[in-house]
Amino acid sequence: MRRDHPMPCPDRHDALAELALGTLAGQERSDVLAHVARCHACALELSELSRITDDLLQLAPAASPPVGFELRVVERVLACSTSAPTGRPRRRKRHRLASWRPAAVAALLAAVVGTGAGLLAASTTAGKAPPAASRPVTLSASLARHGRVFGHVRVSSGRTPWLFVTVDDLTGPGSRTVICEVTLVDGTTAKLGRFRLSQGYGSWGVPLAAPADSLRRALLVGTDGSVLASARI
Amino acid sequence: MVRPRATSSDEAPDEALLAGMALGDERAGVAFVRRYQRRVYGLALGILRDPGMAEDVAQDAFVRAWTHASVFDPRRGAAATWLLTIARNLSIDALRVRRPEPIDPGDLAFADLASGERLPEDAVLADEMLARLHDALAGIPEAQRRAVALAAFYGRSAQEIAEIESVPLGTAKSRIRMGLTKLRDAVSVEEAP
Repeated sequence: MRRDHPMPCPDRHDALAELALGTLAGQERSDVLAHVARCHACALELSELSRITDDLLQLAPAASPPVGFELRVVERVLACSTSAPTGRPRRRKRHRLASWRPAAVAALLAAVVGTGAGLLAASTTAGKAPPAASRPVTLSASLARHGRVFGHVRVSSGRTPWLFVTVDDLTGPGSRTVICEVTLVDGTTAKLGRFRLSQGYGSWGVPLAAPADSLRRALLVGTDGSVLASARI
Repeated sequence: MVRPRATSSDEAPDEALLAGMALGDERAGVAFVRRYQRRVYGLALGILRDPGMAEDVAQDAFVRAWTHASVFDPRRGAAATWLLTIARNLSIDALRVRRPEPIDPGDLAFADLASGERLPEDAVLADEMLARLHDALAGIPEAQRRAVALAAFYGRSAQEIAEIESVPLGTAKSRIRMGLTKLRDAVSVEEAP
């Protein structure tokens, strides 16, 4: 055992460990903090035990979050930055079009390689004009069924065209998988990919291999093939 | 000329990314989320054992870190520690609100941290100090390991641990203290020249 610093006060031993772990509360916590403020040995002990506590968190096994996790974080942060500069961010808030920052989303989507993009590229007729390299335009359409809006589809042009879907309260409790399909102006259809809704909410995006203006319609389809909602782009 | 796919944000140190996030650089934020999402989600999932809740909490942790990046002080600790502590605290809050039932000591995910079932390529264990801590955790008595895990990961007080483990309060306190100080001593001995 290495003891190259003064021993902490014996009557504070237990409390120092609990304070380091963040589980000490009330008067006992106040008493220990007051003691640590004037006792060098206990302050040193607390510092070392706190470091071990911090390091323990890093031992937690890593796990991959559901697909689209990054996108949902960005969505919430952007919503927060446009609607609530301080305080707790609002969750799943619908965004105004102006709140989107194409550079951020494009940076994020550049890392998303969905099979749907390949499908879309394969289904696109040859000879179409390339997307505009400058002044990207974002199109927004309501995702609706029977007159009720369940979310939005946004399609951005530019050097990296992308499609982004947000779904609000589409179904009841639980999680379900939905498929995003698009119909092109030439009538062909393509599945872009699938994502999960949690409690009826979700968001998902994918870079497009086809020009943004080649899309006519986006569909949200259940795994049984039923159309849940659609958007005319 | 072909531009490299890797951006400067992907390679920047944590502190630089947080500084960029504080200034409103979304690319820095995206890189930060991408870098830590597996660890934050893994921690939340280990504590909550519910994928939906874990995702909510992990998102909350990143949103909070992002929106409070300006107050991060690298002199007080590493960014990873700061972020994981946020995730841990939010997980404990969620656990207390949404799952009030007592913890079954036999179902403690983190009491098995030192079970040796971790993947060898785990990046965390590439850190020498953390690998030593991992080994030290495996070496302390199980009762102490469980007490430390209940406090460190689940935020359980000594009184709560005493009730969960059906032991006197003094015993719970001793287990917490002895377990944690043994871990500290094991790492400190290894660090000594």
